[in-house]
Amino acid sequence: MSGAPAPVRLPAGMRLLERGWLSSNNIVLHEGDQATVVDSGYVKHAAQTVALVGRAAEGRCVTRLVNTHCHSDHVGGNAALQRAFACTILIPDGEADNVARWDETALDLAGLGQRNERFMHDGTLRAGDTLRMGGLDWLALAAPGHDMDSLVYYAPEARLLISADALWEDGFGVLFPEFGGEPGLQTARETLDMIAKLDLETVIPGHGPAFGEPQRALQRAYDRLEAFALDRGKLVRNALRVMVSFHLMDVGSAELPGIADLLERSPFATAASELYRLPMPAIAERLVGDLAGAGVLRIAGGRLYSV
Amino acid sequence: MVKSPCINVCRMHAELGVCRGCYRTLEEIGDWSTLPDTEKRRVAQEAEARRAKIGPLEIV
Ligand SMILES: [Zn+2]
Repeated sequence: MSGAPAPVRLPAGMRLLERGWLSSNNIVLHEGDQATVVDSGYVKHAAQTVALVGRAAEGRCVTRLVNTHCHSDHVGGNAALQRAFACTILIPDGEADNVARWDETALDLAGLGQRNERFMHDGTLRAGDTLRMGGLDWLALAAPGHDMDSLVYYAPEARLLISADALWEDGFGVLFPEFGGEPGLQTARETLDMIAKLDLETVIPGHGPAFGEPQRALQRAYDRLEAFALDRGKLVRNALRVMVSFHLMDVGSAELPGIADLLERSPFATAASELYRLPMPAIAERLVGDLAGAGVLRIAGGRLYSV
Repeated sequence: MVKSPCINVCRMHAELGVCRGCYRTLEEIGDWSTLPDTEKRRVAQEAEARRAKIGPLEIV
């Protein structure tokens, strides 16, 4: 219950490191004298991630890092964690070629103005694979939608799901595939259907606190998908809002021409032009005004700031 | 629910032992998800008091 005074309890061998929005959450799972960490946050925060993960391992060796998907806010600390702990890195099989070649376009990096540090993975995971982490057996499940290759991890005995950006307490991650000609909306809905069929008590999302009553979050996510399906402008505006606020969180502040440039180079440029029917600088101005009005960013002395 | 004080700066100041963005210690950040709301409120207030006392920290 979101209004409850105490957070939902996780099994004894799990530590949830709740981060902000630029970095994903990290989950540290104890197993004997070893520990596994799920997702590593954004590159800019890597030093703090290493310190937090080391502390959460509580004297254990961090031997393994598992990623849900390979977006910059989930793998940005991979290289630093591997340097610090010499851990093995496992990524979803569908991302293996992109990571091995470090294809910045395929990794959704190039067009979003995001940074990362290159890493080498040691192995891959596919839907159906099982993992022992934190004294529990976890099953990898395919969760396309936000990212076509994303995996989520499900522990049936604890009725627990590590949901990455497929399901948050209020929503889900940007439907990137929709901007590359892939069926993001449809697959996201199928992923929600898959999650709805799980025997589930608690969800640990990629961002935000762990939450119970997954049916409520599922309903909100279904409602948002429905709103996106009925009005594509909503889907586009959501993507633009997330990209601009992520960028401002990363760089701290920017000027309007910088945002216009970001938009122009982004995978959302065509969709934004079709939606606003204005030249790009005017689109940026309109968007930034809307976002300031919505309290998503703040304008001071001609510069735009993260709030 | 008590909102997290994190403002996405997430870099520690080595000597002071607090985050340059939210002024929480590593322990307070790491344990945040386990704290009941009363404790979260206390941590957030103490972090704000540190911010007032220490003043702005360079974001490197
Ligand atoms: Zn993502």
